[in-house]
Amino acid sequence: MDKTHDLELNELRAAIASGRMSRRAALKRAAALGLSLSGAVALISEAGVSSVRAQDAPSGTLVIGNAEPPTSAQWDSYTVFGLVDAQVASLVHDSLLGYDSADGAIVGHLATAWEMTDPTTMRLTLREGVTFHDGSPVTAEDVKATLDRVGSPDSGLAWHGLIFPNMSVNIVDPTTIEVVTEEVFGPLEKSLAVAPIFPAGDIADPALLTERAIGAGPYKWISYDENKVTLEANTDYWAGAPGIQTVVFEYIQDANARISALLTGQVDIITRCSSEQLDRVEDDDNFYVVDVPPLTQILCIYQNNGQLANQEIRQALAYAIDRQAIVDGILMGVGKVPFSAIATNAPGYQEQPERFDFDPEKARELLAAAGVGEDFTLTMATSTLVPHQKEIDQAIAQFLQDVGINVDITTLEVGAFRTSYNQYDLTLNTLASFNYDPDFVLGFYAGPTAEAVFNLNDPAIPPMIDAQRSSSGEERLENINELAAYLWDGQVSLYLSDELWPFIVSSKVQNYDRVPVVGEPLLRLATKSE
Amino acid sequence: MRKVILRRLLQNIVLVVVIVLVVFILMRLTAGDPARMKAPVFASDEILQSYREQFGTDRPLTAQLWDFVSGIPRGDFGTSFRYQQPVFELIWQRVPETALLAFTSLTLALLVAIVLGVAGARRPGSAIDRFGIAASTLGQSAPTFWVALMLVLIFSVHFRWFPAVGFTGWKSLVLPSIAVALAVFPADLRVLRSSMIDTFHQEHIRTARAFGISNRRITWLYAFRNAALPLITVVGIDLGYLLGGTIVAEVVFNYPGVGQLAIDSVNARDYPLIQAITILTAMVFVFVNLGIDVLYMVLDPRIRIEA
Amino acid sequence: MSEQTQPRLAVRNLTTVFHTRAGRFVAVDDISFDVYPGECLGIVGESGSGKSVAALSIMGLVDYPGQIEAGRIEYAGTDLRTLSENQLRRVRGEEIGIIFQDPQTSLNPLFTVGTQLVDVVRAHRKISKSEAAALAIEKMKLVGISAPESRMKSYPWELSGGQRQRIAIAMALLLGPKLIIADEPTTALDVSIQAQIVDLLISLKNELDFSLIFVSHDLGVIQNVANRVMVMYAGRMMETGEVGSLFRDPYHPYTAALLASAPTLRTNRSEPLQAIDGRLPSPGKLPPGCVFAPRCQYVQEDCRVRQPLLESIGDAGRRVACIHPLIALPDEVHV
Repeated sequence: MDKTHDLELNELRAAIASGRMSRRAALKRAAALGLSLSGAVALISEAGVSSVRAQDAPSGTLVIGNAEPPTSAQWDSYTVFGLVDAQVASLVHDSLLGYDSADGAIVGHLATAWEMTDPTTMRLTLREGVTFHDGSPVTAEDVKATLDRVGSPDSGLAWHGLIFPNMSVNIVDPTTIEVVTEEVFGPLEKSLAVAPIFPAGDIADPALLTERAIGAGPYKWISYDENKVTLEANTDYWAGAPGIQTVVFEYIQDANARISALLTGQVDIITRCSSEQLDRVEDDDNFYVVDVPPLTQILCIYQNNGQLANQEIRQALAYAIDRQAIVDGILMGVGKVPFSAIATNAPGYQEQPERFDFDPEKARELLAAAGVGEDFTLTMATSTLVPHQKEIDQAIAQFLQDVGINVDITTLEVGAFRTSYNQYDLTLNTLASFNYDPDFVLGFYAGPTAEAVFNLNDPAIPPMIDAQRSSSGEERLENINELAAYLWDGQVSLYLSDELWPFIVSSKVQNYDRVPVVGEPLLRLATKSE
Repeated sequence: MRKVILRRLLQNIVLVVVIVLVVFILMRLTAGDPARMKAPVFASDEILQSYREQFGTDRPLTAQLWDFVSGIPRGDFGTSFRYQQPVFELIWQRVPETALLAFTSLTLALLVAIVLGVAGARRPGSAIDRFGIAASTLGQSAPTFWVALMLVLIFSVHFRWFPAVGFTGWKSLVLPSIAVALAVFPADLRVLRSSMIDTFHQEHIRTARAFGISNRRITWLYAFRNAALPLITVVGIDLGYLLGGTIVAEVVFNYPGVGQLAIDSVNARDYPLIQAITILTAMVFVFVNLGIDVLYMVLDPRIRIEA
Repeated sequence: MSEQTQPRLAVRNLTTVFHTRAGRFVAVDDISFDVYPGECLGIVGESGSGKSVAALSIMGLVDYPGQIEAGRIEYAGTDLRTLSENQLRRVRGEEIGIIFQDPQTSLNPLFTVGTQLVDVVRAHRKISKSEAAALAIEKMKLVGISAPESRMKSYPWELSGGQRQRIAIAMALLLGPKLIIADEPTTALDVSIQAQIVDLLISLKNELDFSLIFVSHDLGVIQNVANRVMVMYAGRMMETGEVGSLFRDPYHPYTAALLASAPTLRTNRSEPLQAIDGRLPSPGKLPPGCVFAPRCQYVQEDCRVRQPLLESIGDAGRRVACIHPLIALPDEVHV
């Protein structure tokens, strides 16, 4: 950078700091100055932009009604994938990188700058002066302890292999670290953006995490009583105190109870709403809907070992089923039909040339060509795991019967369904990415997971997974698309729809927004008027 | 009398043991692996196995049974798979709320049943009698969850008089207990009304009238005490409806009680929690019915003497 | 009885009807009678004749769907029918006592004898429980109950039938009523005890000087107890008069038939014991003329057409409702 640049950068910094320029405008300006994205974000972070309301003290209580409780009473985020686990983790903990706005741009949090020094090494500069809720400083040792554990192949952590590959951290100096992956790992930035940094002491003794959670995030963990997780604002948060004083995640099992609680004002936000719940607040000015999902798909899983091993039959099924009609009719438009094997909002998503639009004639032709007789019967298990599961399954069965395929439906209780779904040819399920990266989902199609979930063992897939993992930028998106296209053309599953996550929010809550991850990284920017 | 109660108690303990064994075996025979319920939908076998080891469900059934049975005398009902807390603590924290709801509902149901049942029996076919019969028909035919929903819509969402969910004080009790009471009172009302009518036709009531005892005293002392015996029997039987209704109300009102915990535990295949809740519920049944036997003896001297 | 004394109870034109689904039927049809101080009026008739309803009507104890439709019931100069429920309540037990048929069912099984007796006293007198208990024990002694203190703690079903009925009598006597109605008080008892109870009632009546209405189907008992007797059939009064003359010379064919069917009381023992043929007419389907006509062995054509009125015939106080009474009368008397 030359001198002019420095001058302009200083001006920019001043403009941002004084609030004369929005963060988005600043990003554009920085890009025009030829600054790398991460550099620009680092600049903005330093300028304190991400603190939206440093001047006001946090106030009010925000209650979020969820259909599920935390998956366990322990707060070891790396062992769980639950909704509430992620919500709590995203507020109590901070991560090296993170999200500050709805556009999903990754910015520096505990790290102020980061760059790939070689394809397997990311060098990060740590923010100074950040403390955990117990007052101890966040050090390079804490970061190393946290990431080394999830990077270890022997960790036994649920996140290992899905969100993080084998990796380790080198401490260069107290404010500089290097994250070194064994292989090239494309999603690393996104994974670090959802990876909470724990105090090294908690990593050494994870039993502590059964009692409480201590992090460096905008909210302090206060209590958990099976129904409610309560958090309080951390006024010492490095980017400024959050807008709302108390955040409560309340478990409300019953769908009607959730909407009633919202309508009476006992709850301010309800998550993952059904179309019926959305109907209740339609045209109601007291509420608005935010429906940013993580990368989530509703798909009908095929078991690829039996009758559905034949690709032509799977393609026939795709032609036979009117996906748009199911989305419109049953999900009432809450969803988006994809024309590829990954969610439409996934980085790298492209509509594939063969759309498999509804065409029962073509389905019959393909079935005839595959030599399918009149007695062709597929087994299907249905349950109540996925919203509207039984109606969707009925519709799928009807479409298949229309082209001469018999469907033998068994209704299972959720527990039985979860245990034995892979004993049936067709089962509806959802597949969500935890780190806003399609790699998470694509990983399901290889190795033991693929065998367990899809009875699939296709040697062509693992090299393609490695290709997208080990590349970056545009090239990586191409590789993602290539794998998605392969899965789509082969119709390994029925890719029914994206699953939107409509959240109904009380109008008393301002500045509430989401990014496509499970947690609530933007919640600290929200405020509530009484 | 003491002997009879002791014998009953022993019979009931045997009953509870049988129930516990049946639940233990049934839970493990029905499909649904607790490890899978806890793990993400597509968790790997290693993760599932680690959960099974943590829960002890990888061990032979006999070993699991022994762990379970040997813990009971120590008051150790195991650790919840889902919450990772001793199940006894989990349940105990919620017992007060559920007991409060059940007690309020039963009191409300009995109050309505007694007022309407006695008034109806005094003047069969009168307006208040027809109202009571209509109300009990309605209560019997309207499912509790529907009633609960309507109550929420009207009194929480529309009028904002009562909270829709949770437990925040006495106001939180009102709607759930009305919903439960509405399901419970019809049987009480019908039984009380008909036994009260029978009693009014008995000669000793005519005697009381013939000797100038006031109508109020005849109704509430002489007749009611006679008519209360069948009512008490029905209340014992109703306990099932009461607990069932309580569970439904707890779910619909997100009321933090044992019922909701029970639903959660079944959904999560949380064996220790299910087992403990079953034992607790069975014991409640046993003790309430024992209490009813005692009450019967107190109220009806004939039974007391025979015993 | 002296005609000069005022009757203690004067019943005039009492009509009690029952409204049932099957229709309205008349259980007591326009009967009138007096009860004088110290006398015993017997009411006899087959079951269903309306004698018990007549007795219960006096105290307003006819239960729904029964209803007193007409008449006056004058007790000590007051028409009881004009009293409020609460005023009537004070008369019950205090002024008029009652003894029911079956003490097993007429006493409450869930309360001790003492509780029930004390309750009756305290319904009328503002006195303490122990004072009321003392009164109850006194009356129990009076009716010949041994160890009354311990019996107070007994439940009715712990006592023998005779003891129970003594308790019932004690209850009737508790507040010293001037009139006692005994509704078939011996019917439910063993034959051996019946006589004791009857004797007890007679001696109590003599001792305490109350009036007694004794309802029974047993002519033998009536003959022992009653001064005057009233014979009822199908809700109507057939014949009334002094017990001695009426039993000796029944004028009404029904009275005669009743006497003939009672093994212990046949006037002429050479005649064979005979039951009355036929049955009581079913309520609501009363024959147009004399209600007894269908079963009367002396029936004549006009009996089936014209309803006989109660008329004084023969000796003092005798009244008969019969067109052709069993008495040799001059022809001109016949209408």
